[in-house]
Amino acid sequence: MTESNSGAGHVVPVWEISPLRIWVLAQGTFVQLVRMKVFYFLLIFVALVLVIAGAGLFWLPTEHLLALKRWSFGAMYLFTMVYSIAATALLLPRDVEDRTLYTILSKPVPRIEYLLGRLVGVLILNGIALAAMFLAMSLLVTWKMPAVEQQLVEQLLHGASGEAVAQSEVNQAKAEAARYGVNGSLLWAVWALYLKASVVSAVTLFISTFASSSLFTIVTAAMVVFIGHFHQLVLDFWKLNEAAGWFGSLVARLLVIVFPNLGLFDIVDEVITGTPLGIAAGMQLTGMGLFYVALFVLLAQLVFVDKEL
Amino acid sequence: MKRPMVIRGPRLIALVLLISGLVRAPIESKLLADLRSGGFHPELRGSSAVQEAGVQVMMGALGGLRYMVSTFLTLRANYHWEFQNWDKVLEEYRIIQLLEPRNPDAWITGAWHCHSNAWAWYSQDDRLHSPAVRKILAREWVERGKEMLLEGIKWNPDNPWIYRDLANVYRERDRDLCQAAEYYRLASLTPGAPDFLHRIYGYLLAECGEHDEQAMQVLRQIYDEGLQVLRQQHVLIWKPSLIVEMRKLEERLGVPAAQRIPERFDSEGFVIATPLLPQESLPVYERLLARDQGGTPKDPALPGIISKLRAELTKKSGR
Repeated sequence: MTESNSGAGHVVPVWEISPLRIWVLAQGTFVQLVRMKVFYFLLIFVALVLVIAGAGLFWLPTEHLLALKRWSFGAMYLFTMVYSIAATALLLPRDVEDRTLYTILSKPVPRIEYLLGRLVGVLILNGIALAAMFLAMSLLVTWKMPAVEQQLVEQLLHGASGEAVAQSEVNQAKAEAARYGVNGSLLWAVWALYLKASVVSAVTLFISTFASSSLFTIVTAAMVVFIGHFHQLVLDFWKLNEAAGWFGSLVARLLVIVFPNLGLFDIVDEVITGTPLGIAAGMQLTGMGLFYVALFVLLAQLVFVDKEL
Repeated sequence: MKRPMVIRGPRLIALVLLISGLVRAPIESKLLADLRSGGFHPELRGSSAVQEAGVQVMMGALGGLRYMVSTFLTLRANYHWEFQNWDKVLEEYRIIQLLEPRNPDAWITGAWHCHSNAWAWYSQDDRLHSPAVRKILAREWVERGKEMLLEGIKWNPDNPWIYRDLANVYRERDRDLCQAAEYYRLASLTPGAPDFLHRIYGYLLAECGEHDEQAMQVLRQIYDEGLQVLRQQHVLIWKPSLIVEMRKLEERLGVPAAQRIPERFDSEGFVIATPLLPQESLPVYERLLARDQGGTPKDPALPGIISKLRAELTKKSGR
């Protein structure tokens, strides 16, 4: 074993990081993951949304459409969370096991590039899968839209109790129907889901740099995701229970500081029912997502650079 | 020579986590406040801290699957509805409303099960209780529906349809037209509310009989504005509800003849200010249609109305 791959790695300045090498590693990771036949999940997804779209589970077209979007986003959420954790957790141990890691690091590839390459590979896969699922859902939603429009106009006429309804009010009902369709906010919702998945991938990557096994990484990352959704509760506890005792307060503060606030990215629920997300808020959310990814990649690098391989 | 102190390993990780946590805490708080002001991440309700904590634990545990679970619960509620298991329907909707308080449909549909479905079942179909008990139970379900809608308004103050449903409960179940008018008024004040909500508010205010002058003011304003719009849009037929209510009010308030609304508007090119008998209105409609002959009628409903009136008159003459 050579010196370069058996001992701790050296830290390279940011300007020496090569995007091209990262891209090559990302492509390799992507191909490796695709070979694991993950895209079969898309078939399950399409089957699920087709069943929901075709089944007469609800009376009203609006309810039907909401259900279609909710289940689609639910499936997207499950896929991205499970996949972000499982795929990322498997990467490092697998590379060690089949010795790919040593092959890569024996070449002039800094460890940060290896980590970034692996992470970007997972992110590309997540992005493609989410885009495909979003497209499938959008097609079905568009297909169902005329029925929703008709229902809302009928509801308006019915609600008017025989009163004359102006054309502008009918147009308003149609505009209301557009709220249920595919719109810009829905894209923000998918983006938020993607950001959340990226943060989870980065967290998992960080855990895998010091974990003793893939199982440990998966379980720990799942716990982080679970706890990451309790930020608001912890914050309220912190605020409300200042006088409750130093220990509880300390634990609350530590939890908030250490764990990422994943609940912040849960905008899907409101977007589905028609709440629009502004560009400013969307950009802030993006900034926060990128901050978390950068933070956990940095932490992963800090551990990995010292790791004896 | 003294070696420089280098922080590495777990201590460095802890330090980076600590610093980043302190940096991001205020940014996150601001982002959360911005999202909340835009209608996201609703602040959770709960009559006690324990209840609120329980709701937050549930929402946190569900993560991004909150609405998926809510859809499943809606299906379950529909199942219980089929078997008239009203307590279960209510139970499911209470959870749905906890999960998605900003969704007006959760409140409207949940309340509809209470004030209409459960009420109707206890009023007509229940065979287990005596008529007196059934009446009490039916009343209880109406009250539950009202409570649910009031709670829904707290969460969705800008949604006109929750106010409208509450107004209709007062109108149809309680026969309290003044209260119904008030909720129609509140509905008409919400952003983007359709105009007919304001008109129904006026009619109910007139029908309730306690605010005649106020009702006259509201209806007169609608009448004046409507007249202007009708002239601009060349609308030929005006539904008579407004005129009927205004005439009643004119009588009750003793409005002098000169100030009352005119009987007909034939000369200005459009009718109808008063409800006419079919034999009276048919020639008017036919004249209007004849005016548009050769082109598309200005009011697309006109041919339909004429054939309906003709059929009605033929039926009457046949008798």
